[in-house]
Amino acid sequence: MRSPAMKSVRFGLAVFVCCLALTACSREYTLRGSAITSPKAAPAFTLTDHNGQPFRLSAQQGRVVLVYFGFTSCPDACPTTLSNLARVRRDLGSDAARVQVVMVSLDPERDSAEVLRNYVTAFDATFLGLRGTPEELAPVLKAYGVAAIKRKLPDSALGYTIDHTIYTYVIDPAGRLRETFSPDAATADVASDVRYLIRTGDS
Amino acid sequence: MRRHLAPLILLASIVVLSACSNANAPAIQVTEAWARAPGSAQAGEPAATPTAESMAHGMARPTGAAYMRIRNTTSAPDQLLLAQSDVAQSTEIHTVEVKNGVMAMRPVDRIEIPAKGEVVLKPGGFHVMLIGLTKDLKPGDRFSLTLHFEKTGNIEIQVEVRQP
Ligand SMILES: [Cu+2]
Repeated sequence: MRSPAMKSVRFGLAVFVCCLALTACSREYTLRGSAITSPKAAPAFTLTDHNGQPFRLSAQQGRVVLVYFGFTSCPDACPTTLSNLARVRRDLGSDAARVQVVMVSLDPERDSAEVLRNYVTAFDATFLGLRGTPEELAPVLKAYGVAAIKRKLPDSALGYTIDHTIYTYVIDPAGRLRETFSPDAATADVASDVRYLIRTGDS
Repeated sequence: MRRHLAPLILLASIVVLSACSNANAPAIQVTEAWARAPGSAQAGEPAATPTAESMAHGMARPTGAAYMRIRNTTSAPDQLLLAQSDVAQSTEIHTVEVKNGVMAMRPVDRIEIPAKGEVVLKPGGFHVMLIGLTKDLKPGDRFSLTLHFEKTGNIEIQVEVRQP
């Protein structure tokens, strides 16, 4: 015959083990964007920043790089994303120094260095706009799986627009592509992941 | 018979017209109008003057977008057909669609405001696109925008510029 005391000891033990297991699991951080299951080195690129300086992705090691592909006459996803990323940087406090946000222009024809600089720095003074010739851009877009389709708009004063992928690509301090976010991602989630990657992403 | 018809039509028209003008609530109500104009000018810096280089690229002046809530208090649908403002060279009505992570912006001919209903112009959907900003718009600035509706006619609203 088993005593009721014995039963409650066993039950207590079981609860204890479950709690241990749960805390162990909760220490494992889960990225909040669309995580890449086996992260590899982000495709390398060199483009020209809005100050006319070369921007090499490889030179950014040690920092989290948030890459967005857009254009300045984009009304919606581009300003929404850049405005959210500016908020992320504000929320990061001193960690913000280890984050670089770049917007690669998909419209080098209209986005002159000056137009691009005025645009991206309106969101955050540290943001960089990147430019390249169509020949320089094409392999970068392909490597990141970014769609950019120029559409003529004959009835619009814009003349044309560019249908484009609206994800933000998150590259960790070791230079690996870790995840993507859509423009409606919560800024708290982005900030949390960036903070995590700054702490752990070197190795 | 015809003689009697003319005054009757006239009377009916007057009744209808006065019914319209006597309505307490305006037919179309626009609230929460705001705009973003990123890159219009940097904070603390004068607006960038277009350079020969930027002019050569066809669109030296930046664009912006205005958003708002439009309510139709009448029992018939109305259509937003046009918008006009001094702050932009052209003003168009656009929508945005996202499919498989790809965003496409397209001009639309009209936005239907359903009877006793409302439409919200907001990021990710309809917007009034301000193409070629002629004024340096900073957060906190206000500008006027005229909306032209098929039935209601013109409505002038004030739009507040917000942080991009
Ligand atoms: Cu638009």
